[in-house]
Amino acid sequence: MPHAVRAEGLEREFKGGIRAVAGVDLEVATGEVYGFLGPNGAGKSTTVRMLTTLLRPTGGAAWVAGHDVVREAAAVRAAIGVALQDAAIDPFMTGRELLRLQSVLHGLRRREGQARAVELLERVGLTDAADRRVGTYSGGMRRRLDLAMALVHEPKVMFLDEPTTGLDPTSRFALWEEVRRLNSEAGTTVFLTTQYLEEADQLAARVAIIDDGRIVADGTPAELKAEIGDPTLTVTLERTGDAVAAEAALVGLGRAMPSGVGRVCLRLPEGAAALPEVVRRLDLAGVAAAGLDIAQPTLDDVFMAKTGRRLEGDAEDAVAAGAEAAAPSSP
Amino acid sequence: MSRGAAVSVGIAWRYLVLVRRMPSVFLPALIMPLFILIATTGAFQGIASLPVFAGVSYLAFTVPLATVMGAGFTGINSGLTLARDIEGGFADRLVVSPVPRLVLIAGPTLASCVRSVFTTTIVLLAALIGGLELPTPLGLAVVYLMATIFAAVTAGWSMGVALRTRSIQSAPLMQVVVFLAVFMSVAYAPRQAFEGWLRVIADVNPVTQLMETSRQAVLATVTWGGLWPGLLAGIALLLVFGAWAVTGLRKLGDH
Repeated sequence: MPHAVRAEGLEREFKGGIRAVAGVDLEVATGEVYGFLGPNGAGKSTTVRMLTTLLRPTGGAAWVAGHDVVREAAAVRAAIGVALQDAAIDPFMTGRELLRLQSVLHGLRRREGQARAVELLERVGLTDAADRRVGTYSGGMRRRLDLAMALVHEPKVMFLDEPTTGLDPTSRFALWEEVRRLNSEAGTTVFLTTQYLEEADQLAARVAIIDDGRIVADGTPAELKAEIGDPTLTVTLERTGDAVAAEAALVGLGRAMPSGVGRVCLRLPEGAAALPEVVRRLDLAGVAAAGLDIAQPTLDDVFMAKTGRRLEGDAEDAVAAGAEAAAPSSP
Repeated sequence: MSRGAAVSVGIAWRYLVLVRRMPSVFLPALIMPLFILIATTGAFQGIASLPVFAGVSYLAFTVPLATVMGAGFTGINSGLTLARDIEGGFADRLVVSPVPRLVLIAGPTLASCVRSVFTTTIVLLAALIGGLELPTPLGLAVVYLMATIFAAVTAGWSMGVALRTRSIQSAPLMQVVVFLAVFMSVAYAPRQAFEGWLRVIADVNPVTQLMETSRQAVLATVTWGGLWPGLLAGIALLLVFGAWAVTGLRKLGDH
């Protein structure tokens, strides 16, 4: 099996002519952790729903674990594990009951299912909460149970749709560890959608960036950052009025970038090696610098370069909006 | 047990667990048939003196209405739970598992049938306490059968609605059609008491056949002549609303 997941010109158009996914091509190697990165509404979840047979494509084709997602949907479902966005778990059932139901759905015998439930509850740290209703679980516990349910039948390919959205940092890191373990110990291919740059950077061997239903970049995080090229130097000025003088002093060292008030930014092809020259020129020009900061390109820079927008703000806004929605209203 | 049957039983088990944990679902389906039995008998027992009733006890006459209505509630509940599952995303978990999609209909239908047996038993016990003469074993079997068929039919109807509307807001639609079907049948009086358009509707309404077959089993001895119209109507309703629910499954991948 050359690819665990492959899509060619995958499209989904909804009623009213809305094209949520507009011709996605992607290839995920067996045993790889693949990050599918994009802002809210970019088409990540719609793509995952098509790849997991939950939604029929209106164009193109896709194969998961070697099976066509439309013509061999049953074979695809047998090969995949899915943890969808918002951890759709029945709040009236207990964790153990849901794992047993999942075992039944995947054809495990009664005793086998019970043993698997015990093993998975232990693995995701929910043994003590196993017989409590899921409605009493925290967000992190629900996500861990969701992951455990997706693992009941030891799937070849795991789809995780924004698995850490809305989680606190501790729960997020715990889930990352579980994903790494799943990939390294069981060799499971992981298709991970996320709007968190750090998550994609930390977990994924390769990343695709989707925006407006199309993949705008695809490669390893290092390759994508290298495409952007040089590190960025930010000079914070002691006197904001020195900006023009500073820019003039640094001409020839790198390409000027848009910057805020009291700052000068430029791409430095030589990176940190150019810092002594920067300091010397600023000194000669009589410009006092309050700080010099040199940063390597991030996936957000890649996103900015490909789409003209920042992803970081979108993701933070989404988290803030989610937290606001979850917070009890004030009297 | 085949894989499909095992999964259907598993899904039915979940529906029954949910019923136990949600009194707001469990109690109306239990209380309403009892209320119908007691309130209807109390309010209308006087009309049993009319010649068309041929001297039967109005309590006995009302038992099929209460058992069929109780079964209807259990069927509607399957549609409500499915709508809640679709809205909340739990249905996706079922759909993405490697089982025939038919079990998504078969499991809840099985749960409704099991619940209807329980509801029918409670109604019969209440009626026996109220003075109902115990029907023959065959008569009891027919009462249970008609209620179970109606539970499966209403489960098919309400799940078909849930699959098409994908919203719990379709609950009134699920309920009103069942109520109309029951109350526009011979729920309160024998067919001979109806005239004009009410009689026409009662005659063509298949629920009338279910009700009359069940009523014959409570009031008299079961005869083939009294049994087959109910069986035929039940099978026809099962086919129609089974198809309605199954074709609704195709909508799952359209959204």
